[in-house]
Formats: sequence, C-alpha cells, structure tokens
Amino acid sequence: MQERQVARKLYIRTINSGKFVQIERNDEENRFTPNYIEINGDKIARVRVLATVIDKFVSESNEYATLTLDDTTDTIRCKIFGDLNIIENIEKGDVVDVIGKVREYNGEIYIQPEIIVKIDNPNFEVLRKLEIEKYNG
Amino acid sequence: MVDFKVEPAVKRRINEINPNLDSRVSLIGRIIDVKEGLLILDDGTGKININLPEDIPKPQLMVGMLVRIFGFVIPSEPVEIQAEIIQDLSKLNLKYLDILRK
Repeated sequence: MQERQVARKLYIRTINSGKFVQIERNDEENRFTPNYIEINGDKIARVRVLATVIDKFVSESNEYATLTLDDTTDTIRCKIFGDLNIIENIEKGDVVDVIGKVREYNGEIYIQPEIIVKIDNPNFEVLRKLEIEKYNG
Repeated sequence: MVDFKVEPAVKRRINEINPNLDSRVSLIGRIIDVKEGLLILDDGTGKININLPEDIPKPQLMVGMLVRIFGFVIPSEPVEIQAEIIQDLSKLNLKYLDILRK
C-alpha cells in the first residue's frame, strides 16, 4: 500500500519550476504510485499553497471550475471536476490555503485540490513564509 | 502549451515600481486619502494613486487602513495602479510587516 505523501508547503514559483513525472502504471508495483514533480531531487506529489484567488471560473454545466492563485512568486490554477462544493464560498480576492495533488495537462502544471480553507488572518501568511524559507531554503 | 499564463503580482515598494518591467504588482501600505474611484496609498517609500474600478473585491475603505493591493501598472507620468483586488491587513501584527513585504 502506497503511503499518503505529506503536502509540502511551497511557493508557486517552486512548483512551476519542477519537472512533472508521469508514472507508467503498467505493473503492479507502480499501480498506486502517484505522479509527482521533481524539485531538487525530491519527489513531490502533494503540495500546500497559500495564495490569493485572482480569478474564479465556473463552467455553465457547473461540473468544472478553476481558481487562479497568485502568491506573488507566480500563478497556478486549481482545477476542480465534478462536485464544486469545495469552492462554494471562495471568491476572487480571498486568501486561501490549498492542499492538493500536482497534475499536468498540456504543459501546464496545476493543482487538483483536496482541501481549500479561506484565511482571514494575514499573520498566517507570515508564518507560512517563514516555514517555507526554513524548510526549503 | 500554456497560453493563459497570468503574470504574478510581484511584491514592490512604491519607489521600486518600474513600468517597463512590472505589469502586475502587489503593494502594502496605508490609505491616506479615498475619493470616488481613487485612493492614495503610502508605503513609506512614496505615495501612489490607485484607480478603483467599481466591481473589484475590496473591504470598506478608510483613511489609515493598512491594505494590500493587487493591480496593474499604468505607465503614466506619474505611474498609477489599476486595482484588481484590495485586501484588509488590519489584523497584521506590525512587527511582521517587513517580513510580509519581502
């Protein structure tokens, strides 16, 4: 059984600088191995990003949505398929803490979010900045 | 191929804004004046006019309020900003202001 990987707290710039690796799932050993981005030799399948929502798009069918996040180092999209409840209370301008899997499509690295929490206290951003700089240099 | 990439709103102090290099910026400062469709922001390095479209996310704006502004640089003389988003930073512990600005 593949152990669930801890979500790494990263700047968006760092995520976008990673090399996306798609796992070939043609044998039993790799059946549950997640795709990942490789950053300085680390294989990162799950990320945690604190950023401002600068755009929210919901399809007419209400089955697909995107949030564009900006943490001032770069921008990245979250793509949500199916149940959009996760972004029901999220609007442009909100600061959010997103935990999700990294994915890639058509050359774009994006996040498939599992948890999105709205952050009202800007001191939290300071804490995250210090954490990222402590653990990632 | 990624064709929808949005440039990040890079952190800038007001006196660092370069309209030749910066398209989107994020600024942290205090509101020193608010008028119809316009506010003036001061971050200690300078002050700048921020144009306020009606439909942007923003708190109730008040003189003295600490805010962060995401916006587009307008290469006018002097440089102005077209606000996209304004966030209330009143809850920020001011000891951490410089950390957040870096």
